[in-house]
Amino acid sequence: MKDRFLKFILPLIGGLAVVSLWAVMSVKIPDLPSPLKTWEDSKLYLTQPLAKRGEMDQGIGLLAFHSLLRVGKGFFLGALMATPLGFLLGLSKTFNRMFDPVIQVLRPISPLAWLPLGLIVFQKSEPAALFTIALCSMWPTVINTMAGVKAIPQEYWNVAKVLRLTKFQTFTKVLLPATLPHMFTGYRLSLGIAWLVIVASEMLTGTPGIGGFLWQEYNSLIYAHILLCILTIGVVGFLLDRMMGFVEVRLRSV
Amino acid sequence: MAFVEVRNVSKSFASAKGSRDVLSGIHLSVEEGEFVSIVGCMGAGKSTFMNILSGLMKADSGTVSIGGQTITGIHPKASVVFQNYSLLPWFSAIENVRLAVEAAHPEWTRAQQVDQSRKFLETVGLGNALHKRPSQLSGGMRQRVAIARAFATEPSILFMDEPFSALDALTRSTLQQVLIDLCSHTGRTVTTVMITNNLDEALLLSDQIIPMTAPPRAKFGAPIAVQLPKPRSAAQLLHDSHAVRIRAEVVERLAEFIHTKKTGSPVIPIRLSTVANEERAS
Repeated sequence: MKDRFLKFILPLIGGLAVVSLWAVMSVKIPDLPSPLKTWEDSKLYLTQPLAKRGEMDQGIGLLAFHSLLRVGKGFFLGALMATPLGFLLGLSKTFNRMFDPVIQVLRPISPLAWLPLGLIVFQKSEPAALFTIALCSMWPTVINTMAGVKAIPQEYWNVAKVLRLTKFQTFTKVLLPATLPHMFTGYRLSLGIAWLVIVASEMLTGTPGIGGFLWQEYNSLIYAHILLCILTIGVVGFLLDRMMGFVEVRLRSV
Repeated sequence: MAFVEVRNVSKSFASAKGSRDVLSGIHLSVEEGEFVSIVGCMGAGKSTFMNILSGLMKADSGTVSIGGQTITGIHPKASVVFQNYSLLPWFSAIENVRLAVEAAHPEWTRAQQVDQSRKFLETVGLGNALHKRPSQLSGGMRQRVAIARAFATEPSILFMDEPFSALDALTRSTLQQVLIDLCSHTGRTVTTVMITNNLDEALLLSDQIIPMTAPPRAKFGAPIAVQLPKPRSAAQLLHDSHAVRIRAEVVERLAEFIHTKKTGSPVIPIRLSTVANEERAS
């Protein structure tokens, strides 16, 4: 009973502490909207989350949906490249030696650096955004899939050999099930990065979505909406992570 | 030429202190239908030998042939039972067995494969645990699944690497009985090579017992024949004079190996093995 009470009350105290800090700072910094003002200015967007008043002027639910759709596409594209790449890196020593240094160099590159390249290559903002999300988010999947393949115990390989499984059977019955939990750890981390990248790519391309809206409201001097966007991005990111985490735990328990 | 013929097999592994010879100049002949046990102490290179014999590992030199053919990988009619069960944890008991049946008989329908798998799981006494995952089974039950998997492909050669050593004494003897039953039940002669560190187990099951020297450079001693009618029972082996003599002989031989290792004097192994050979001749 006491435990459940603490479980509920302690996060609440933490949250209130941060909001109070925000309130105090908003008094000191005149341009920073207070929590109350943020709530008043955002009410319309939160109470009518699916309203569409203009190209950018949409309910927060609709904006988040645009962003999620973009993230989904980019993430899917990234996973489509990353998963086979991870398997190849884990299975072949030669391939690993060839491409591991390249990957280590490409991995830390910021989305802000990839986006202009995407715009040059694709000439349009939407494919450039997807290109950026895919490229930035694929690395955790590549690395975790690779690690998962390498971590398969010799025991399982011996079973595959002793039963004289075909290459296809070895892949579907041994390799894939053994690597699946690692792959999903990769997917969870990748999705987190994809969501981080969305804001940057929408800001630079000016496409409708949470990031695009944030940038527009900054330019229109409606600062309360910036905070609304920040909070929404945080909440949606948290929910995405929880969702993937749930799937991951289910897979691990097998 | 014997059914299984191992000629001059050597294997060394690279280690921090340079290369370490594990096996050197190993010879072994197993006749068709024979049950041979290799008995040695821990770390004698028994598992390395088993990996080479079954085709999982390549020897540095020497050859292994089965049915007159030098092997280059796993023999199509061979099954292997590992010490640590080696079941796939994401499959249920019956799925684990069916995977082996499917690989051996891809031409069978799925229903036929399932039937065969169920039949063998029932034979080892797991009829009520067909759909349990390995994590839901005890060690003894897991090894039953592994044994069912090995027999379900109806092999003509069976390799077992300390199949019962991870089990407690009681489970161990039950499973030995399961193995005896399966061997007679299938009504076919399965040539078997078993590696074990348990002498009673070797006496219970084998036609020949081969003592193995300690590493480095492990070698096989002369085979000792066990001429007792099968199936045998553990109780009978305790009192049978022939069994008692063989047990003493193997123990003595293993002790000699260890003694030689310590003093560095040459092995004097022949006295007792001539007794065994005379008996085989009679």
